[in-house]
Amino acid sequence: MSEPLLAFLYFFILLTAFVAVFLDDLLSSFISLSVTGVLMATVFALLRAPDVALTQAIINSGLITSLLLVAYSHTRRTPLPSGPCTACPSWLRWPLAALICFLLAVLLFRGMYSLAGERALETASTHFLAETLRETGALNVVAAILLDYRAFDTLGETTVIFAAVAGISLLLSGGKHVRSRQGLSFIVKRGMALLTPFLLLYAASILFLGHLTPGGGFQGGSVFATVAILICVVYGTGFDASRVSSKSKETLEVGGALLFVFIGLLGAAWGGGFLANLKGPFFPGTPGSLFSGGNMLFLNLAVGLKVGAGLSSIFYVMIKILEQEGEQ
Amino acid sequence: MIIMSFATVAILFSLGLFTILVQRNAFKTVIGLTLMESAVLLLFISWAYIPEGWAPILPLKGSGVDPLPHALTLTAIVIGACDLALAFAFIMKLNGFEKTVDVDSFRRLKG
Amino acid sequence: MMPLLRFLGSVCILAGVFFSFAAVVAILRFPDVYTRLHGGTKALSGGALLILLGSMPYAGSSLGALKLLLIAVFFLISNPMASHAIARACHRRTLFKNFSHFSSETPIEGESMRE
Repeated sequence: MSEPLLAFLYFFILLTAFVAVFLDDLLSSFISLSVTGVLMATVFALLRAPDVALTQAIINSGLITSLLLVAYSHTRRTPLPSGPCTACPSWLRWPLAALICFLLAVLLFRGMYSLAGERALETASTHFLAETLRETGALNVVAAILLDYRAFDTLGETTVIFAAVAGISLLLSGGKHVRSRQGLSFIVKRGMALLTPFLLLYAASILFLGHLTPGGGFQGGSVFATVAILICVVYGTGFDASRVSSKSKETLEVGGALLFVFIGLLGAAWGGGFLANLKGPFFPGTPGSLFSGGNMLFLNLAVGLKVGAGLSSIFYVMIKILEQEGEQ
Repeated sequence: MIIMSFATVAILFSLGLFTILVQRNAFKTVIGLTLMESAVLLLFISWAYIPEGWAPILPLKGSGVDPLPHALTLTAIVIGACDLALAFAFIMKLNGFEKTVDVDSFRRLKG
Repeated sequence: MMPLLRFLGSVCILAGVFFSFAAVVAILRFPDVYTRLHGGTKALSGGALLILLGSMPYAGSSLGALKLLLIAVFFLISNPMASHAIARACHRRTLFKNFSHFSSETPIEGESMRE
């Protein structure tokens, strides 16, 4: 692990973060933020965390930037804030905030400095690294932790996604789909038709091989949501709204959550406890094949359905409000 | 090397907090929130790194890095994306009411 | 054989870095959105393609080299498509339609949107 390369990347992360904060042009600061996300994904990959690098690149740089641009284009016609604020003048605001943040940075660094020393693995981590193959049958240790040892936390995470989708649908309700959009030009449509099968194949391979290679339900579901967003942008909302209704997306999302709970109850019915893997009615299989790891394949599918349908319905709800305003 | 990572984490976190405190545009507040979350993710991953360790995919070629903070970070990334999407929905709804994205003009609950 | 391939790979990566730098200069210094897009697309596609091809001898296995080749093909398909979409969107909104920023007279009002 070369220190100059990491120092170079950290310098550029800080530089793009400063640019994203202090630039007046909002679009440029959004792009700079997404560059920060990509650089952080590179740092994660260099620090030997391939799962996290994949998730950061897809979700933070891809999905969040597109949602940010949708929200920005909805508020584009309102004037940006200007003029001084009378409640708290700027000569008091900036230096006071700078002082507070500087003290916080010094305090945080002093606290973290005492943590830096000889790193040794904890007992839980050595147990995970040594016993995963025997206890779960999967090769990806992080996926085994997420879907076997700590599967209950993953259930809580899908609940958080569900709450976010429900909250956004409630806030942005009341718009209607405008179905007369044309989409982009012929060249882009044909090019997208060429690329979409490979994108879907890539998403399916990340999702189904999540217990063998870096990946899993979250990453695969996010790539599926990205493909849905791309189809909506390229072909226009009329194409998608007439073929796949929003009811079926809700059905997919709820189906994913129910599948997760059903698999957990299967394990409980077998006598191994809720979400039991090898103590339940699942078998490990040969290590390295597709049907290994017990119930991790089905749990990945459930999580992928939930995340993909949830994130794409967030996008469709935001687009719907956008078209209610009558702009094009 | 881990000192370098911790310094970056501290600077990034306080930069995000500075943005939330000072900037008047609601989108800059969201950018500050993203930076704070990214700083925490970087803290987890740089804490989990062990020198001369390999990625936690079996079969390991030697010793491995700590896989437990990686699982925590994956959950944190997805939850962070969800709360950012909810923040965008709030901004869009408030913009419909107040016709501006200035945080100093969201004063209906004041006094 | 291998050191020769690695030397060629290094030459390709350096040329790719130069082309990407030229793309950045084009986006910063050209006066118009169409010229910026032209410089950005061609130089960026060439630069990224050269970097990916140049790192193929450095991949750990032949499977990794094949993956890099597939990434290069995907990039070659998707980058010009995206630039075409941007240029067409600018054209439909009649940005700089009369190129009046190159002359000294006042700009004429552009035509209305065609569907």
